[in-house]
Amino acid sequence: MKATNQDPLRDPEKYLPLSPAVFHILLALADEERHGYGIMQEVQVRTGGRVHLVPGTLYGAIKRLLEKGIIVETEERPDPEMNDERRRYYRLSDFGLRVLTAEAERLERMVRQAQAKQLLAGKAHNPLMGGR
Amino acid sequence: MMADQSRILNLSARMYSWLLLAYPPRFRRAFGWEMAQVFRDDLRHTLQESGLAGLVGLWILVVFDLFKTAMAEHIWEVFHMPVEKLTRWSGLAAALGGAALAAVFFL
Repeated sequence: MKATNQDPLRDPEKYLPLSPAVFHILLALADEERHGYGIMQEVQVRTGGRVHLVPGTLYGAIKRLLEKGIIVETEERPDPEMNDERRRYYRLSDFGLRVLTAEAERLERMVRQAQAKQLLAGKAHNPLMGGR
Repeated sequence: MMADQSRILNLSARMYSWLLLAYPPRFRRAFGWEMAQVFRDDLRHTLQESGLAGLVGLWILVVFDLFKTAMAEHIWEVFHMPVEKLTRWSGLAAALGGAALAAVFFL
């Protein structure tokens, strides 16, 4: 039987690794629902301008994330007076949160491995050397 | 100056709306309006923050992104095309390819 987007047993690991753009989009939606430009602004501010999403990448990713049920479109408008009715808002689904968490854990494991190789100055912890 | 900025903004937004024709119709119908709106917002912000130099930089980024993502969307459409439509289009493509080969061979 084919797994559906609502299947609670879906494995988030299947969707990893996420591309940097997708990771940033999901991270932007982790704390609140946002429209496209809201996502773009949040990513730009959070990364100090190092990541600038442009519409093609942003909406290509949004399309695929919607199809996979990782994000969903919300019916409510957080601030109807301040926003255009036609703007769509997106939020993380429960499954999306699991995918984002799994990716963050994967990245954490990789950083720990880099630390063990003493690649990150001042933060190295090498279990083979007895730790520092 | 403000009138100039407004004119540049409108012209750029109109040009981007035309460029959106590069995307498959289904994708355009779903996200075209939002993409144009997001581009306009980004443009306004960039123009205020970085002036014309920022605008040129944004356009380079956007055009490169547009070609890359429009191609990706077309490829996605082909791989997710219903079988009947795929058969029809592949038949047409084969016929055109055959005609082109024949033209090269006989001319």
